Amino acid sequence: MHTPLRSARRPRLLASFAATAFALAALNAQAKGVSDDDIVNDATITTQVVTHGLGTKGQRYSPLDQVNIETVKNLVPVWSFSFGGEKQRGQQSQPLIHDGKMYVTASYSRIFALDATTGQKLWKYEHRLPDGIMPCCDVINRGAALYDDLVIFGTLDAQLVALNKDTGKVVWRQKIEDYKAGYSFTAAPQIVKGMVITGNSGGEFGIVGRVDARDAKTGKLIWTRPTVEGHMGYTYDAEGKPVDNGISGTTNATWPGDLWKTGGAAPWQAAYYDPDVDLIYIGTGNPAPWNSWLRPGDNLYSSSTIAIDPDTGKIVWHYQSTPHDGWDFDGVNEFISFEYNDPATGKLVKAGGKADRNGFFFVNDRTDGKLLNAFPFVNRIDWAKGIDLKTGRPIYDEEKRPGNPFAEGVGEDKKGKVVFNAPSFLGGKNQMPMAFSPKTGYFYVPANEWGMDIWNEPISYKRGAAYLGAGFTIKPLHEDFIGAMRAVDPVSGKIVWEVKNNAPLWGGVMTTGGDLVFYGTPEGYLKAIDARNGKELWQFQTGSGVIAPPVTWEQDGEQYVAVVSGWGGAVPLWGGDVAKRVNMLEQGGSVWVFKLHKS
Amino acid sequence: MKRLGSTARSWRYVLLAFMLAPLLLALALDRAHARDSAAFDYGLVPRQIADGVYVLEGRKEDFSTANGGDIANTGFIVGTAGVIVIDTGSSRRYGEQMRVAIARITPLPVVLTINTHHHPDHFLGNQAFPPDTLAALPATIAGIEAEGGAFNDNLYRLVGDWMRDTEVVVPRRRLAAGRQLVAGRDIELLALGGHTAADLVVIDHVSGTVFAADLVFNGRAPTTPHADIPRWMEAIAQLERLPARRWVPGHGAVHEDTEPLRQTRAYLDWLSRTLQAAAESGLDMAEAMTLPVAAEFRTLALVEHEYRRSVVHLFPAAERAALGSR
Amino acid sequence: MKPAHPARRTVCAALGLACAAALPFVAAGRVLAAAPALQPGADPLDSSRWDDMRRAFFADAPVVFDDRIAVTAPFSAEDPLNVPVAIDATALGAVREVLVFADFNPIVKALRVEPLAAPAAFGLRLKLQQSSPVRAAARTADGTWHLGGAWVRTSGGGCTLPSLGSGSAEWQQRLNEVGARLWPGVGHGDRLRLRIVHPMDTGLAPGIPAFHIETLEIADGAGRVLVRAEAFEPVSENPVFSFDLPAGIGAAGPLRIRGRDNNGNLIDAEVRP
Ligand SMILES: [Zn+2]
Repeated sequence: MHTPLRSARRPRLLASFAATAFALAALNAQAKGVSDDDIVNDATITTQVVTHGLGTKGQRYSPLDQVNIETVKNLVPVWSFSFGGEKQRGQQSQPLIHDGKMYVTASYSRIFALDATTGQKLWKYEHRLPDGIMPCCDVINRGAALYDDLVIFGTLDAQLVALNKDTGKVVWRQKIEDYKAGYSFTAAPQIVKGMVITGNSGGEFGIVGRVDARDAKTGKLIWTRPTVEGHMGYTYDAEGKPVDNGISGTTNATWPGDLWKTGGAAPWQAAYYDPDVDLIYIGTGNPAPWNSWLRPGDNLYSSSTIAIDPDTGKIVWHYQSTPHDGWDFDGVNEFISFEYNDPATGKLVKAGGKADRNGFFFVNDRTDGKLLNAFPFVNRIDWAKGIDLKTGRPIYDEEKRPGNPFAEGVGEDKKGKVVFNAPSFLGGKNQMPMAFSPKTGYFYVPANEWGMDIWNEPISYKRGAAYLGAGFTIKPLHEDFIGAMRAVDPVSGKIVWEVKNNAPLWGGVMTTGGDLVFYGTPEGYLKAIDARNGKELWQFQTGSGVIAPPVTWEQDGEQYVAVVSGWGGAVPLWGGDVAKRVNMLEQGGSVWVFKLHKS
Repeated sequence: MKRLGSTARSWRYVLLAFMLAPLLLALALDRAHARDSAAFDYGLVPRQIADGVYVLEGRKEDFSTANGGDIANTGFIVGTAGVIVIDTGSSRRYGEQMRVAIARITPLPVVLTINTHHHPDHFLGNQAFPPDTLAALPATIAGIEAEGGAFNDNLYRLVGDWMRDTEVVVPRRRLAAGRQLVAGRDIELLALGGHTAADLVVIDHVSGTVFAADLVFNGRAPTTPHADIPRWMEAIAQLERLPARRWVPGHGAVHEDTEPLRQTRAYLDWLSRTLQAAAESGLDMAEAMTLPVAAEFRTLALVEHEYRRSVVHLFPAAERAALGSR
Repeated sequence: MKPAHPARRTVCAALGLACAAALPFVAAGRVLAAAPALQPGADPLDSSRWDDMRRAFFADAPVVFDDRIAVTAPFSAEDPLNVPVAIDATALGAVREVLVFADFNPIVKALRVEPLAAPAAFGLRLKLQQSSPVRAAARTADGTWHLGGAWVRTSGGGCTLPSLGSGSAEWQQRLNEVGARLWPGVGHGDRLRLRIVHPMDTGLAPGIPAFHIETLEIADGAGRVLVRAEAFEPVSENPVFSFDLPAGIGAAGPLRIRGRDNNGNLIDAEVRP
């Protein structure tokens, strides 16, 4: 059975098909480069996936509908490719598709170029990693960026490598930061106005969070913006010399003493970009150390969404979802641009949505950061009774902050009072990106229901060493599930439907014009469910746990779906009692590609 | 690579930390001290014990956030051409403050910085001294290379912010036993062992001062994480034959006669006989830990604590012998 | 219960020490079963994991915190890979089984002992990943679980570190080799101590699968099983156990120690009195 591509009816797509046809004509002459237009229009050009997020807004929505609620039952594998090697561990990469080729990263800082229709390997680049790398949460990578004739990805030793996308040869290489001080890099870079935008990782090691913009073609720094209040931002002149570009915030306004010098707030996920309002959005991680008694104050810009002007490298607005975080509630989750009509006024609202680690779903005006709505997307939240929509601040339950280890009456082991708190530090949602369907108006949120016992203890900063001052045990909240794929209405604040999952969900989500939601499970399944009602329609066992987001594209009149499989990531490392639900899962490392079979 | 286990979870790892983990972490927290722990000032005041010979006496305590790890004796000898430093303390700050203290006494440069053995209270101040003056016995260098990082991690945990920016600096100059003029001073080095694989004793012949390192404790229970008791007792016997005028122990007060040597040897003798007897009479290790310390040693600082640690260090070998298990 | 403690006398005599207090397995040391006997209520060790422990091991069975079960363990672990623990539940009378576990270990259960025809008193060493209560739970004939325990502080890492022997070939040549000896008149009768060469890999150290002794049985010369034990990953490498056995047990001939690990390797040794 074959269903014609209905999406071709869309005028914008027609234009892109024309471009594709033109490119195909010139195929033998030279491989096609990725243009700024390709990037800005990635969400609607269905023959490619050249950005992390299926568009720089990160909606992870594809208008393709050949595979739909009727036809998905005929989805079958086309090819599978093994990353090989003796090392496996977690695979969290979102593949990129361009010009009939797939670019996919793998654990231990590897990247592969494959023929997208056959799975044949074109080239591989394997980064030589030093012994001392310190990724907190597995040796994963979340994907690459494409620009012109380059494919760019970051490595666990905090470097950025640009390869010729046709040959796999290194074109440029830049150091993001010193891995020996605890810096690492796992996110996918994002291309904005010809710049490659990256954050950094290492919030568990007292690093200083920072967003960098580089010339994508040369790797030369254009600006840097620290995400810890008190640090100087810079622009770079023609010789590459830094020029002061203003301190982020005001030194010591929200941090005591010199704690801000090791303040964490790592923006360790991908940046997203809305060309419409011309702002870069990126989330920032936990303040360091975890023990919040050492750092009274809001600790800006930790656990926040920040909006940066790509032209100046300055923070335009920020919204801190967990001020003075004491639970490792990183605010790194993706802030996804979307529009809705205000039910009261009927006016179109340019908004952004974020399902936070802390269990609340936030809707902000994406032009100025103003909080529009905030509601729980998980069943249980202990640390705050709610979010005050007027002030934008959480209404804390102070009993749920781990006890002060320096308080009187604490035993000689200096362990503060243990508190139980939900969500756990692995979050109501973690790194796995959600999706938004403009068709249904829902966000599809891979949520997890778990809590933790957490306590604080003294800690001293040591360069390159873990900087927590806390201990914890994660516990599931329910016997029958931890994960829950949820359709969330950002306007009403209601959960429309959910599909439970025994193990915690750790892969991302994609939704399509075919009214489908695709996502993977640690149990190894790639699943397709009805975007309108959550009905499970299709699943395929990939052989190892899926903790990566799927993609889709169309080629030669057929819609393809791809996902990376390979269990690992933070859950098996940090899982506490949750480990029992996942310790039977085996590692792997492969890409699976599907399309409809023709009978 | 230092892979997942040890990287991702390195916060949980304190490799070999047990070698030094004291039983009572914050034992001395509440005690009043002259030191200003807010300013991280060790209050180091060198005491002259002979012409040109100085000692900075540590506390007879365990590592704590109150004492900043200042629990071992360090010292220095001022020659005509420079200064010989004997051990550098437990942290970068200690080393730096020690250098300031030396500079108050003499403008001469440090020409030799000795680490007597590879325990962290004796070498973690190395950063403050000229790298090419750092020197130790080969086995001490190997010990610092192998275990220094874990020791350093552990001290951050035990004494906190006193450790700020402390890193392990491995001495590169390999010392050997022998007598020679150093900085114009008649110095003899003895390469012994028993407290650790290599314990260096420094003799200043002009003044008759012996820096006995941790082969000798005075009024404080000896520590045994790397001990070879028979070898240690042999080393003490060798020291007793030296015509010394005064002894600088690794821990505890400077003494004019050999009483600290006798005391250390008597304790070690009691310790090994007690543990052997315990193993030979079928006691479990948990039971061996509950045996009382002999009356004559009960006045030693930290003796209960060190005894229980020593059971963990030394009982397994005695037990293997008793069980006829290799 | 037998109040005499000849072992202590032997040591003390050997060293010419004055020994006043009682000793083996009856806690001259730190015994933290601080609550009064038969207190059903709150965990005297105040562990945030207690509810989970209760659910995991005892379900709906009656549980009491009982100072008649003594757990002797150091206040702080000098070596998190070798934390000595001695358990004495003889004051409870007949005991069907004793469970030893540590609330905060990634693998909680360490040892299960059935003192079939022996006093409920034994010793072992275990690995601790972080500071944790170490508990012993003894089930009496009426189905009640009696709990004792003590907090042990540690810098941790004990369960996720590779065993020391895993890097050497020693265990491959001497696997399951037993060194054992019987001491008449020590503890509550005769004391058997044994050491078995085994890496006891937890499966939590990267790249090393779980490899540990699973079962152990001690039988007298007539083939009667005196003690049956089930060991789990947290028991220390090259484990050393102490088991108190009925007095005069060696009279019927050599004791037999048998067991196997999770790979099916057998343990089989004789101990002549
Ligand atoms: Zn020493």
